[in-house]
Amino acid sequence: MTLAQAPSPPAHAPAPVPGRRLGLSRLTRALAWLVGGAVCLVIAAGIVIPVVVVVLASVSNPTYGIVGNYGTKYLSAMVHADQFASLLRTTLIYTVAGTVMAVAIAAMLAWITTLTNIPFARVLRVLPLAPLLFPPLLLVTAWVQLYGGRAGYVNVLLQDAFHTQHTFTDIFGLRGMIVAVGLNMVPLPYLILSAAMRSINTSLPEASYMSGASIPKTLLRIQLPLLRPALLSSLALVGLVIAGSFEIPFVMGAPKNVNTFTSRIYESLSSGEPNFNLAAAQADVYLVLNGLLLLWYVMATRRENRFQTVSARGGNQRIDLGRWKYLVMLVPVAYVLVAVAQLLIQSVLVSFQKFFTTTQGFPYRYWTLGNYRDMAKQNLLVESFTNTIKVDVIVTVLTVVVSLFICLVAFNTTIFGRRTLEVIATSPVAVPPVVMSVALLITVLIIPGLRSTYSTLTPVIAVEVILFIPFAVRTISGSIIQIPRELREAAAMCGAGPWRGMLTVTIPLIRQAVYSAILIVFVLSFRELAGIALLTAANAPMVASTALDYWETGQPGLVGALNIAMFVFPILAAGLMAGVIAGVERGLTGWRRHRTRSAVQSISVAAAGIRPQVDAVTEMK
Amino acid sequence: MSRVEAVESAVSPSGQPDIGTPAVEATGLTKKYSSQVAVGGVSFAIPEGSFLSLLGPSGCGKTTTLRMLAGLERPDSGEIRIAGKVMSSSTSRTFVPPHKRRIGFVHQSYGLWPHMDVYRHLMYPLQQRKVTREERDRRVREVLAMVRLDALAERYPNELSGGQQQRVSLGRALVQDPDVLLLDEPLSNLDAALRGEMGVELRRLQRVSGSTAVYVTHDRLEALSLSDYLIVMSDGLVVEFGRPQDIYELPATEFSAQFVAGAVALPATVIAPDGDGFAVTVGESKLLVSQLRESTRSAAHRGGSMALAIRPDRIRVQKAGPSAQANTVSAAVTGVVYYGSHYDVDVEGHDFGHLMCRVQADQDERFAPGDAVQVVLPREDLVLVEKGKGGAEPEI
Repeated sequence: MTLAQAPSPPAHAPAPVPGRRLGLSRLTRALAWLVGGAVCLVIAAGIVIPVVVVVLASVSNPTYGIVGNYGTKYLSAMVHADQFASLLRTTLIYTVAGTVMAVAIAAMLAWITTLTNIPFARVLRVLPLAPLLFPPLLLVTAWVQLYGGRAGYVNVLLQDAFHTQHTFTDIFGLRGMIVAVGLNMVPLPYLILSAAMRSINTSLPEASYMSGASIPKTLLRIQLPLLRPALLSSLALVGLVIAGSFEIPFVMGAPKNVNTFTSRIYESLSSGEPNFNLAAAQADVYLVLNGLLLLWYVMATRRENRFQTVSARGGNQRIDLGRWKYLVMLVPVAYVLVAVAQLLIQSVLVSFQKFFTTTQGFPYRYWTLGNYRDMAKQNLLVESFTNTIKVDVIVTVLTVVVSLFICLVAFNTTIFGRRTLEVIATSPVAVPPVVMSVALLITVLIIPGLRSTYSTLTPVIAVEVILFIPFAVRTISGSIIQIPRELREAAAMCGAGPWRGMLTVTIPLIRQAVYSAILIVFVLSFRELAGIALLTAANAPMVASTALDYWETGQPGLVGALNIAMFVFPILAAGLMAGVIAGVERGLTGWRRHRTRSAVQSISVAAAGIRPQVDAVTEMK
Repeated sequence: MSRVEAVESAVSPSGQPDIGTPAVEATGLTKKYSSQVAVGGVSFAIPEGSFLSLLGPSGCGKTTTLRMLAGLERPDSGEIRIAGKVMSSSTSRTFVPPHKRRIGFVHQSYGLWPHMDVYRHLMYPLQQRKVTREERDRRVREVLAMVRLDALAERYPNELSGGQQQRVSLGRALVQDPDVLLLDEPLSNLDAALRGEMGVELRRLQRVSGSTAVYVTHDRLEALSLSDYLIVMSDGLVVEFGRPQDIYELPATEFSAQFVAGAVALPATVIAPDGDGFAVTVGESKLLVSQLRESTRSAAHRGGSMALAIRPDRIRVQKAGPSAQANTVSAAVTGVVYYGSHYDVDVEGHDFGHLMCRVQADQDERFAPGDAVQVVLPREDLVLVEKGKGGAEPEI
C-alpha cells in the first residue's frame, strides 16, 4: 500500500454521533463544572469567611457568645482606650521606618550585586537572601541576648572595656524593633529590585549618555523611573509584612510596654479573660491599614504597564568601580555578618549552655548537650515535634494540591470567575497571620459544627493552609503562565481533550514549580509562629509556640536549641526531599529514553525498508 | 451585491473545475473581538487534496480564519464543514471542540512540547485515538521516514535545529492522518535559505500524504509557489479567490494586483469599450487597455471609476521627446534607486500621483531626479481592475 492511500479505516475515529454520545459528554462536562465550581466556592469561602467573621465580631456587643447584637461598643472602647493613640503611633512608625530601612538596604545591596563589577559577585549575590533561611524567633532572641539593654552581652563587653555603666545599645523598644525588622526584611525587596535592575537594558542609560546627560542625571531621569514599579511593589509588600509581624514587637517591644496591634492582640487573647470582641476590633485596624496600603499601591502602579516594553533582554554592562570594588564588596558581607551571622553564632552557642547570664563573667561556660537531649526525652517537646511534623506534612500536601487546583482553574479553564478565585487565593498576603488566627479562632468558636475542633490541630492546619496558599499559588502560576498557548492547542489538535491536555502537557511542564512550592511550604510551615501562637492549645503543642513559652518562662538554652532545630530540621528534610525528587526524575528520564530507544531501534530497521517506497511515491507525484 | 455573493460569483463563473464535495467549506464566517471585527463574513470551499493559501497583510484576519477552522476560536456566525461534517454552525448551535475534529495543525512557533522527544511527539496523536499497536507503529514509522527524522527520534526539541523542529511539528500533524492540514505561517521562523527548502519539502509532504492543506502567509512568493488555490484577504474580508497564476496574471482588484503581483496602479475612468478592450482616461491622458477579469466586466461601464494595474518592469521609461506613441503619459523623475540588476525609477505625472517603474540596468539611458520623461504603458501589459478591494466599500 502506498502512503498516498494512507487513509485507512481503523485510523479514522467514528464520526461524532449527534445523539447519545454528545449528550453524555455534555453531562460529564456539566458534572466536572459543578464539582470544580463547588471546590472553588469552598476554597473561596474558607478564605473569605474568617475575615467576614472577624469584622462581624468587632461590631458586635453580645451578651452571650461572640457575634450578635451589633453596635460599636468595642470599636469605641478601643479608640477611647488610653493606649490607642500610642498603639497606632507605634504601629505606624514601626511599619514606615522598618519598610524604608529594609527597602533602602535592599536597593543598595541589589545595586552592588547586580550592576557593579565587584569580585565574587556570584556568591555575594545570594548572601542578602540569608535571613530567609532562619525562623524569626531565632534572630529575635539572639538580638535580645546580644544587645538587650544591660544584660545584652555586647553591652556588657563594652561596659567592661570602657569601665562605665552606660547602656550603649538597647534593642528593647521602638528603635531596636525598627533596626531588627529593617535588617530582617531585606530579602523580599532585594529579590524584586535586583530582578528589576537586571532587566534594564544597558542601551537605555547609554542612549541617555549619548543625548548628553551626565551619569547622576541619567540615574535620576532614566534608571530611577524605570525602577519605580519595582520600588513601589517592594514598599507595599514589605509594608504589609512588617505591619503584621509578630515576633519582633512581641519579644522586643512588649517588655518595655511598646506595643503594636499584633502584640496587643496576642496579649489580650492569651491572658486571663480573653476579650474576643476587642481583639476583633484591633484586628480591624489591620484590615483598614493594609487595605489603604493596597489601595495606594494599586493607584500608584495603575499606569505602570508601559514599563513592561522597555525591560527587554540585553547586555548588562556593569559599572566599573575601579579599586573601590574591594571596599564595596564588603557591604554585602557586612550585611550578612550583622543581620544573620552574629545571631546564628549566638543561637548555636546558647543552645549548648545550661544557663545564660551575662552579668557574671564569661557567659559561655556552662556547656551541655541537655537542651538537645530534652527534645527526645521531655514529653512536651516530643509531642510538639510529632505535632509539628504531622501538621507540616498535612499543610504541605493540602496547600500544594489546593494551589495547583486554583492555578489550573485560573489559567487553564474557562470557568466563570476563575480569575476572581486567584485574587481571593492570593489575598491572605494582606492579612497579618495574627489577625488571620484571631479570625479563625472566632470562626471556630461561633460555628457550632466547628466548635469540637477547638484546641485540636485542625485550626492550626487551616490557618497555615490559608496563609501559605498565596506563596504556592504565586510559585505555580508564575510557571503556568509561561507555557505558550500553542503547547495546549497542539495537544487539542492531536485529539487530546482538556483533561488529557492538562495531564500530558501542562502538569509535566509545571512540575518543577510544584516541587518548589512543596519545599517552600514545608520549610515555612515548620517554623510558623505568628499564625499559630493563638491557636495552639496546651493539649496539642507545636514546636514554635512551645519555644515561645519557654522564652517567656526564661529558658534561653532550650529556646536556642529549639531555634536551631527549627532552622536545621526542615532544611535537611527539604534537601532530602529535593534529592529524592531529583533521583526519581533522573530515573524517569532514563526510563523514557530507554523506551524511546528500543521503540526507535525496531522502527529504523523497518524504516530502512520503507524509504525507497516513500521516495518512489514522491517521484511519482 | 453582498460580500459573500461577490466571493461566490468570483469563484464559480471564472471557469474553475467543479470541485465535487469540498474537503473544507466555510460559509459566512465572522469573528469579533470586543468591537474589533477580525473576520467579517468569509466564505470559501477547498477541493479535496489541494493546497490553499490564505494570503494577506498582517491583521487581515487570515490567522483568525484558520483558528476558526481548527476550532481554537469559536465563530460568531457562519458555518464550517470539514469532510462533509458540520464542525461549527451558528444556526444549529453546533460546535465540535478542537480535539474531536480530525485536524493537523502546525503553529508558527511549532508548539513542540519541551518534555517529549520526537518519537513521543509522533506517538501522542495516535495515543489519543483508539489505534491498534501495530497501526501505531506503522504510522509512526511511515511518518518518521516521510519527514526524514528517523535518525533523530530520540532527540528532544531543544536538541533540534529550526528546520528539524518544523518537521517534527509537521510529522505530528500528519501522523493522525488528518482530514485537513492547517499551517499557520510555518516558515516565518526559519532563515531565508532554509525557508525555500522547507517550502518545497512542505509541498512534497502534502502531496505524499494526500491531505488537504490550508496555509496562512503574508509572503506572496510563498503563496504563489506553494498553492493550488489562493485566497487574498484584507480587513477581515476575502478580496479574491482563484488559482495563483490567474490572480497574478489577471487580478480583479487593485489590492490583489498590488499585493499578489507586486503591480503598481493608476486611477482610471472608463470612457468606452474599444474593440475587445476599453478606452480609459488617466487624468487628461487617454489610454487603451485590453485585459480584464471576466468578473469585473460589469464594473467597467461608461464613466466607471476603475484602476489600471501594471507590473513595474513592464513600464518603459524614456527621455521626453516628440514621439506620438500610444499609451504614453508624461512625467518627471523624482527619485532613482539602484538595485544592481535594475533601477527603481520613481516618476510623478500631472495626471496621476507617483508611479514606480523598474528599468533594467543594462538599458543605456540613465535618469536623474528632475528629468522630464515619457512613460509608456503597453496596452497588452495593462489590466483594468476594480478600485481598492473591489465590490462595495467595506462597511465599518
